[in-house]
Amino acid sequence: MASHLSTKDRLLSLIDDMELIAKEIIEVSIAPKPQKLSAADHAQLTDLLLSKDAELKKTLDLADEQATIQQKMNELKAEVDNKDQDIHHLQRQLKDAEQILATSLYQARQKLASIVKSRKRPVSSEELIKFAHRISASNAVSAPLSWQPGDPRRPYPTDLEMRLGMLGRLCDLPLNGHTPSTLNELHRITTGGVPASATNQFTWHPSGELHMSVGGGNSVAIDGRSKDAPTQEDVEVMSTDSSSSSSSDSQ
Amino acid sequence: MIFAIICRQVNFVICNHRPSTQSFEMENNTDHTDQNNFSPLTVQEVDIDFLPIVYEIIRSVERDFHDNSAKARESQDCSLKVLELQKKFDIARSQVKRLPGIEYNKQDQLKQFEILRTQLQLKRELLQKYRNMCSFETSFK
Repeated sequence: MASHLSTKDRLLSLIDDMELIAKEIIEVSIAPKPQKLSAADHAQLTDLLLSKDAELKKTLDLADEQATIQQKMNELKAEVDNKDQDIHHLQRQLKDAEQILATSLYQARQKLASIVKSRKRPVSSEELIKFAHRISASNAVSAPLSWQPGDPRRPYPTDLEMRLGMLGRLCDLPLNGHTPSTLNELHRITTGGVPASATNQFTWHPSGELHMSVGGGNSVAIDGRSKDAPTQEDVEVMSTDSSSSSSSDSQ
Repeated sequence: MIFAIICRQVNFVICNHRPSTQSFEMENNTDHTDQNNFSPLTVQEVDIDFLPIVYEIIRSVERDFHDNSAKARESQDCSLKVLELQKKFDIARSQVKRLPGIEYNKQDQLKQFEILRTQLQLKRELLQKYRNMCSFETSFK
């Protein structure tokens, strides 16, 4: 028997052989006497049938062994499937962890860069607190609680401040066809040639007062509570514009 | 007369060697339900006792009868046995097809068994590796 055949094919082939031999024996038995086989041939056929029967039983024993192996293989397959699921589950968890770690690492690097930057240019905390106090004292970030219509203290630039700024000076630009091409040029025109770095409108003075730069290098001290007439007038204009919104805010 | 009947039966069986399976199945409902059932069988459940029927058929053929009615009865019995033998072969074929684990020969099956064991071992190692790989570097430079 060819060994490359599967056990199933071998069993089916043996059954076919037995069927054919049995039919041959029966046919020979019922044949008329002149066509009958000799006793030796008959015995040969019978032996062949017996040998096929023995071979069939032997192959069935082999099939029994293979059934046992198959059962073990099924158990192994179930275990392999189980491990596969575990591996997929772990891989998913590792992927999630990798994503979380990558995000944390990115944020940590950003913080480290900030720390390095701040170490290069240290700022005294006392100065910082003083400056923060000054900003909030001048109502630059929020209106005072006791704000009333007509009060010049605002958390936004007043009309005077706007006029003194770069946007307010745009109308004073020379209109001889020369248009500023760059921001620096525009800045130079509006500030009268003073470099951009030197023209911070608001500068911090150790005396604790906030000064605003104006043309010609002069600086004007800004007092949120000053009651100068032109400022008051400008503020009045602004306040009438915003009184409705302010009052609606306060309600 | 006995010879004529048996000859007809044998010719019928030989001519309808494989396709006759369905017709025989239709004759017996219990076997029919068994054949349609694809649940795996054990080797002990496979019926391969063909030799006793072959022996009985040959004995019936070679027996001499003096009575005609006894001859007719014996020929009928013989034809039934031939049919029974054919049915037994068909049932044995269908039962063999339901045996588990015989799609390959033993050598190939053992090879597959080894492959599965290796696969399981590798997967176990991979899982162990995944479980032991969680060592993080905590020092910042």
